[in-house]
Formats: sequence, C-alpha cells, structure tokens
Amino acid sequence: MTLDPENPTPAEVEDFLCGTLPVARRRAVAAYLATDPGAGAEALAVQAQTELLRAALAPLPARPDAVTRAAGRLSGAMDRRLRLRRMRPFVAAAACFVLGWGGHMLLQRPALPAETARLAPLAEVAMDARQAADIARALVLPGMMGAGDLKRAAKVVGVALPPLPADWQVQGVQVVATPDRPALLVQIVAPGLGEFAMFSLAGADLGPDAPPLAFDHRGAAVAVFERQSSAHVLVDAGRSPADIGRAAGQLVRRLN
Amino acid sequence: MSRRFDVAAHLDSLRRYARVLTRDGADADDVVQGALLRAVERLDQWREDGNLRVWLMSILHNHFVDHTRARMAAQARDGAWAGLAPTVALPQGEDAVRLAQVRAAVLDLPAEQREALHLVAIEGMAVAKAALVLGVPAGTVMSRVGRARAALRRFEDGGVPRARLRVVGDQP
Repeated sequence: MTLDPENPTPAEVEDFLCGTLPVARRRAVAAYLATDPGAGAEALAVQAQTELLRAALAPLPARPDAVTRAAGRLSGAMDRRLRLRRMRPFVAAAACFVLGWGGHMLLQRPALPAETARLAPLAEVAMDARQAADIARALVLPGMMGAGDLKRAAKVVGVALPPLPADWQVQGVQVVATPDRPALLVQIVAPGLGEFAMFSLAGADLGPDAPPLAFDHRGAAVAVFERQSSAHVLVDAGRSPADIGRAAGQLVRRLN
Repeated sequence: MSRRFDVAAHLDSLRRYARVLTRDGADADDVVQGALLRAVERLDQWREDGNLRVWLMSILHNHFVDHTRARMAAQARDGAWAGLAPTVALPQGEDAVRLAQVRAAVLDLPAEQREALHLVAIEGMAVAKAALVLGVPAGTVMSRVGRARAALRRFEDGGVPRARLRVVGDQP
C-alpha cells in the first residue's frame, strides 16, 4: 500500500476494513482497492483475519454486578454534571441580575456620604427654621404671614421660588434668620405628602443647577436642590427621603 | 431511568480490552471497575461533546498502565489465557480449537501490538481514536497493527501455535 496523497493511507484502508472510515473517503478507498489487485488481496486477507479475531475474542462472560454498579454510578455522575453545566447560564444570569439590581439600588441611594456631609449645615439651618416657624405658628406670634404674602416675602429675601403645584396649599410663610442672610420658610400641605416645610435661601452655591438630592438627616427626610442661585431645602420629619425627593423633583420640573 | 451518558453501553468494549490488557478474566473486571471509579474522580476532564468510548478506553488503558501492569507477572498468566472465558459458549470441535489457538496467538504478541490490534480490529475503533486511547501517534498505531497482523498471519500460515514448554519436576 502506498502513502501517495492521491491514494489512501494504510490507516484509511484499515479504517475502511473495520468500518470506521468517514463516508466521504470510503468511495476513494473502495476504488483504490478495486484497481490495485495486490492491495485488494491484502484487504481481503485483513478482513478475514479481523473476522477471525472478533470471533475468538469478542465473546464475554456475564458482567459482574460490581462492574455494572460502577458503570451506573459513573453514568449518574455524568448526568448530574451535565445538569449542573446546563444550569450555569441561568445561575450566571441570576447573579448578573442580582448584581445589576444591587448596583442600580446603590446608584439610586438618595445621597452619597460626602455630598450629604456638605449639605448637612444647610439642612440643619432649614430644620431649625422649621422648628422655629412651628413654634411661632402654634403661638400665633407676629412674623407669620399668609399664603398671599409668599411672593412678596420671596422678593424681599431675594429668593427665586419655584411655582407651586395648584393642589399644594401654603399654610404659612416666615422670614427666618440664617448665619449668612435672611431666608424664607414656607409651610406646605401637599396631597399624598401631608405637611412639610420648604426652606429657601438666596445666594447659595451648591453647584450649577444642582439636581434634587434626598437623604435622611437626624431622622428627618431632607431634599435639597438649587435653581437660579436659590437653594431650596424640603424638610419632612414623617416621610421617607424618597417621598420628599419626589416632591423636590416636582418643583424642579416646574422650574425648568 | 434513561441516562444521557450510557456507560453501560460501553462496558463490553471496556471488558474485552481489559481482558486483552490483563490476560486474566478476573483481573480484567477489577481493572474495569477501577477505571470506572477513576473516571468518576476525573469527571472534570470529560468534555460533553467528546467521544465517551474513547475517553473511557483511555482511562482504562492509563489505569492499567499506572496500577496494574507493573505488578502483573504477565508470563505467569500465559497458560491461563488460552482458557480465558470458560463460561462463554464458544463453538465446539475444530472451530473451538482454532479460536483458542487464535486467542493464544494474540497472547503471544507484544503488549503494544496486542493493544493496538485489539482496539482497531476487534473494537472497530478508528486508528486516530485508538491513537488517542494509547497516547501515541496514529502512525505508531498503524505500524503496531501492521506488525501484529503480520505475526498472526505467520501463525495462521504455520497452522500451529508456538509450543509452550514448561519445566516440570526438579531442575538440575
């Protein structure tokens, strides 16, 4: 037999005779054996020898139980491994979802510690002002103004107030002192939110049109934003930062 | 329960090959059992799209080489080989004698030739796959098979198995 690339290799002839040659090569080997009498005779001898070997060595006694059990254990282990492998994409997808959702929730946190620390003094002033206004209103002290005084008071302290939604009711307006300059405290009742206070201070420098930032400060929900150089702080002791943050967002949209 | 991986379907191939490796029926089944346990331990090496029979045969071969071949006194089993598988219903008369002679002739082959010939001729394994089982190049398998076939042909042409002489009685 030859190793000429045009002709089958000995291995191909062996595979042909044993029935393991790929179909694509069978025709070439058959043609080769048909045209080369020497190779054909050799092939017949090999085939006869193969049949004799199989007759002599193929028969087996009955399988021992231990061997059958070992085969069953291996099959079971392979099946379990296959099932685990097939579950991997789903587990990975679930893990990605959990990680993604966790990351999303982290990004949605009302405030980062550094930012809240920077805004804490402003929140403190707003909370103090609200407390003072509550006391003043409870005692009907002079200085409390009605809703009709809102625009005038805002103009006096130089605050650019956002237009309030129509269904928000102003309960009281008060000019309050801060370490820098007078500010305005507006007490509001809004549907779904109840009563909360809006503290507005002109000349704040929180950053260019800082977006609403809601966070929890000493047990009170606080939302801070800035528009037109006026900082506004919404304070609500009974709500979550998310609720007060939505109210702030509503005001920002009306300012834009 | 139907299994995705039917190892039992390859048990006969494994057992036949083990008998050719060990030349002893009882040892052969022990080797098969050991190889199956080794396969469980090495499941991480199994590729789902791989050829299960080739993988199992490779493990069987390596298990035999690593743990069995060294401790086996192969020559001591020569006599037992011809009578291998006494529980198998073989043809009677001249055919039975001839088949026993063929088995004995296979026994006489060197181990490498015997292994290669068994995988290719008896198990019908492609030369390339037999090479994977044996861990040698396909060309080496082919040359071993060729030499084994030539040796068997010489035996068939002679018609008589090689004489087995044993020393009996006291040696001088």
